[in-house]
Amino acid sequence: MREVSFFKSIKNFTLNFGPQHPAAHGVLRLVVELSGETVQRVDPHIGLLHRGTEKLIEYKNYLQALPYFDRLDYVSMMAQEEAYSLAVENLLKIEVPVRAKFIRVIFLEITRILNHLLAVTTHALDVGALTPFLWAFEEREKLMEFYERVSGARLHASYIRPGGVQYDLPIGFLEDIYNFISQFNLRLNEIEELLSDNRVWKQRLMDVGVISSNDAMSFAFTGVMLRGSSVHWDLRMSGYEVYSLLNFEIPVGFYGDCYDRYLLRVEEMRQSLCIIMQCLNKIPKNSGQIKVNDNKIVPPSRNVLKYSMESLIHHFKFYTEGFLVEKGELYTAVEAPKGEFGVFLVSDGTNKPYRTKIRAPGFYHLQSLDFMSRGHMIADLVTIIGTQDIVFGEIDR
Amino acid sequence: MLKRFYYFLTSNYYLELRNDNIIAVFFENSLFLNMVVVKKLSFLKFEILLDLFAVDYPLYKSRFQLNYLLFSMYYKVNLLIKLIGGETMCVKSIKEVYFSADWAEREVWDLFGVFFSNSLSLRRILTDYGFIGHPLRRDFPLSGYFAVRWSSLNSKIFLEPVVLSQEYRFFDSHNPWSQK
Repeated sequence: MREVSFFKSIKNFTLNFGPQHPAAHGVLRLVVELSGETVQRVDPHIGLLHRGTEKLIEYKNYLQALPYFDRLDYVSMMAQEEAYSLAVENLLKIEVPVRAKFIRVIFLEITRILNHLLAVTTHALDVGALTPFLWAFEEREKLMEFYERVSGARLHASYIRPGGVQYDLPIGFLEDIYNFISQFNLRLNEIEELLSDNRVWKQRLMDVGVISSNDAMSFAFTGVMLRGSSVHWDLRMSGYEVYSLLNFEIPVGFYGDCYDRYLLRVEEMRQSLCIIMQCLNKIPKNSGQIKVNDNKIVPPSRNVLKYSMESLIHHFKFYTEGFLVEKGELYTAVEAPKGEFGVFLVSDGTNKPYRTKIRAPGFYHLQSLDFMSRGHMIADLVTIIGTQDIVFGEIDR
Repeated sequence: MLKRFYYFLTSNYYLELRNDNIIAVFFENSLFLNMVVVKKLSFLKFEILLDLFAVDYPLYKSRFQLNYLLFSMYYKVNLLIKLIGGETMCVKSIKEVYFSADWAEREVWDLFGVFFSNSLSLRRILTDYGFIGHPLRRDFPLSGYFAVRWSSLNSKIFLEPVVLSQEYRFFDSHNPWSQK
């Protein structure tokens, strides 16, 4: 006769979340161990979008490596171009003209708005609010139009390049940015009206995914994730490009939960508007170079190409061989919208980088998912993924 | 601050100062200990391990350079600790000291094959399940060894050796007269 056991052993339920789940923000596969609906353990499996960017860059020259940076975090393109361009410029020991610096800062802040609009509203979409998402994409479209007007591409601009920016601003561009800024605050207010005091939104976000400042630092959080846990640090404080000439506030959270991080993102967008406004006032008007004067590093102008033999040679050499970078290695980081985006470049004196290590902030944020979501409900897991602002282009590289 | 640092780490190393990165080179023996020291001692205050990565120099006997990039929130300064070792190098994991080291170590293991002892979760992270080789080593070909193909006839995924109709053209534009 079969022995009947009176004690039932209860096993945890293991759930496979993703890689095609819409709330997984891309191709995130999670192996979630649940007890009821409570998360016991999360094991993120990443690498489903691994393209081997770092390996590919080893086989490209310094200019050809640039477009790969657009495609890492594909919602904050120019911030990454900036990190790479700064790294190359630091290795070459060149200084970019002031007008180029201002143009860069304008676009870095536009990029920040682009990213935060997506981050906040897709987060809201995950939690259940569709409308802000639709409104934000209207605004994103306008911002991407600015991208398109300077570079010809809406997303992967390749606009910020080593030695400056590729093209000068078109006529009337700054006025249009001014027009955008003057109405965008209202759009932000509208989005905030729907979310900030929303009862459901607050219940879903407050006290979810709390992380202390010590843990945040130990997990190498940067950007909003770190500031949410009341650490006052922003790489823009170190004043690369012209950030030292501009006045802006760095908002800091208090509780370290998802709601704080949401508020920070909204406030950062307002600060970005303020920065762009200052740039509009301070940028050298209609004059000033947008590239360094060295034709070994930047291509000569198309106009002189037909008349000047030297320019023709420079043009040919630049687009075939590229430029040589002295031996050395350097870590350069910028404050990308998601956090500290760093590039460690090792040059061996040839026209190709010997090794490029890309420090993606999202990689380190996602690592803490297990830590942050333990003991929460499975619905909160989605909230935490949303607040981490995960984009798989940069995590998988 | 630098002097204090200099004073404290007395094992075999040397220090270089470049821009705002302080670079120290260590060798294999006492990394774990020093990492605890770097993090815990109040006046050093390197609380953040920003990144951990390797650089491969296949022509050297000790081909791998492990770089630990630290950041001090207090001094706002970066510190780069280097660790040099050969193919059989076995480094102590520091993920008890820095939580962020866990995935970074997995990545280094995955892409370079540098082994970390006392790390229980040393699995592949970025490459595919069942991948063979360490793709970021310099002697790993750019195209890889295997290509994955979906066959709709058999409704199956096939893993086949890479066949290139033409070899990858790698233009080495090194010219001897431009070298200083």
